[in-house]
Amino acid sequence: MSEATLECRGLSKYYGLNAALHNVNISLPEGKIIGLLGPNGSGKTTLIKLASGLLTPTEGEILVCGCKPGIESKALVSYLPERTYLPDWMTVLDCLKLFQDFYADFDYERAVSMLQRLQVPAHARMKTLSKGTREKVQLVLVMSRRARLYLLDEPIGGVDPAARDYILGTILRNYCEESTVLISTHLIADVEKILDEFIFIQNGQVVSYASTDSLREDLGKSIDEYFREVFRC
Amino acid sequence: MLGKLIKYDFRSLSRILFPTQIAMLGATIIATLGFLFNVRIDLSGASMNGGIGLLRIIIGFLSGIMVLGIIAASFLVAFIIFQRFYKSLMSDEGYLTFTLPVTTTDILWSKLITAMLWTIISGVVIFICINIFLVLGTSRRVVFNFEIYREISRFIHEAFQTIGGKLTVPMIEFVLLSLVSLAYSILHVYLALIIGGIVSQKHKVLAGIGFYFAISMIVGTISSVVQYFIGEPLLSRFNALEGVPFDSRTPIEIYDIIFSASQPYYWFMLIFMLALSAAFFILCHYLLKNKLNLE
Repeated sequence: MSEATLECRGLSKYYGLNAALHNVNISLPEGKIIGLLGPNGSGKTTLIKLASGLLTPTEGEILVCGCKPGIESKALVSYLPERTYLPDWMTVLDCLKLFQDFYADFDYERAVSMLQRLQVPAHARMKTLSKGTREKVQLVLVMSRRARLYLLDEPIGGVDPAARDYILGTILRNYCEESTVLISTHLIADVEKILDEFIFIQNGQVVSYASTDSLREDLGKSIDEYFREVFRC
Repeated sequence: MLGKLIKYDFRSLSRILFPTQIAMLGATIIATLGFLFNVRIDLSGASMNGGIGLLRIIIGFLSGIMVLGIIAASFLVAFIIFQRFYKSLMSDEGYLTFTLPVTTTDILWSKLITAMLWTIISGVVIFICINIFLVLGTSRRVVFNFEIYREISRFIHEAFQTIGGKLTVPMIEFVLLSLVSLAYSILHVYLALIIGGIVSQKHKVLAGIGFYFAISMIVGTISSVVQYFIGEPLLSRFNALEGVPFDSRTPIEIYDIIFSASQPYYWFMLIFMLALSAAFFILCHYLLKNKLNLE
């Protein structure tokens, strides 16, 4: 039996007295594209940050391919935060070189060709690029790695629908059999077609975790419809 | 990986600091020439009325501004070092820094080493600036004045002739203590910034400044206690020198007596500073690894 790509055991994260995550137990297999769906403030970002090693759990543990967050897990995880995190004084090419220097699994050629497709100027400094273009650069960097686990936090929030399709296509094309992609978003309708599985999360707890196919077969519903039902205000 | 981190950290500092150092050298040359111009005009006994008087005032004013600029540039070095530290760890860039497959220890070492390197570079530049002034600005007749170097080399020559190779040990000791206190000062600010970033939600830098003084007070208290119990007894060895009849000794003997009396206190200071620096480093590491919650 192969070990889970991402495993949470009794995982909790508190900020003071507020629980951002409470007793999450979940095990994500390899080779799936999984949607992490939930309303604002439900704990999506917290879960992703815990997996990427930016936060430390208050209780429980989180394992990436059997490793606790640390230098080994960071080499396996490709993380796209929901903000622009590249130094603004670097050029796009500088950023590519940085990724190539630090990540053994980075595919430089692929990144260059993706940037060309998206018509991103390679010699422009990050600070001169628009927010949407910066997000594209980050996505290209993150998807040009051959990582075991991709953590994409709101990858399509800030870009136009045309780029959105390209990005989702990119994720699909670059995803190989052993990798797992965890996408957090509230734009469910847009990502629905590429998801194998989905996790509903609310108030820091996992409400449901199922495969997209079983939802369609058993309830005859799309994730979007199901989401509106579960999280009705 | 440490080498790669140092490469990137050094580059991110150099990008701003390198031009400021060049500007500093340029400003020094201009200020020195201005100073020289005024000195020569004074000496030539030219009339101070009209154009020349005005020119003197303007040049004097400009030289003054250059000197202020040079002082400001040296503060800028410290400011940029700490600003880069803060940005790459506590701001959005922290998302990149802390998801790279490197250890927190390597990140801290890289920040410390690059900060020390740049402080040393800026120290060398200030030294060069002083020398530019000494060579160009102190002569009344010739363009380049090397008199001061002749004096210095005479002094060094004399010192080596009387005390000789024995001077190397105190020189090494001085460099060692300078490096340790430099590391100590940098880690002091790093720790304050990290605590400020963790404790405060909104005014992280302001909180960092507050914690800088708080840490100083704690260290002050600890060092008074340690000084009282260990430092004073070591220092009291100097009292034993009172009765020594220095007149009848050779310079080497006097040197040996003073040097050996100062050694225990020197090593005490060095180890104490080193221990404090290590404590700061370990605290920084612990806090970054376990307590930092980036927004």
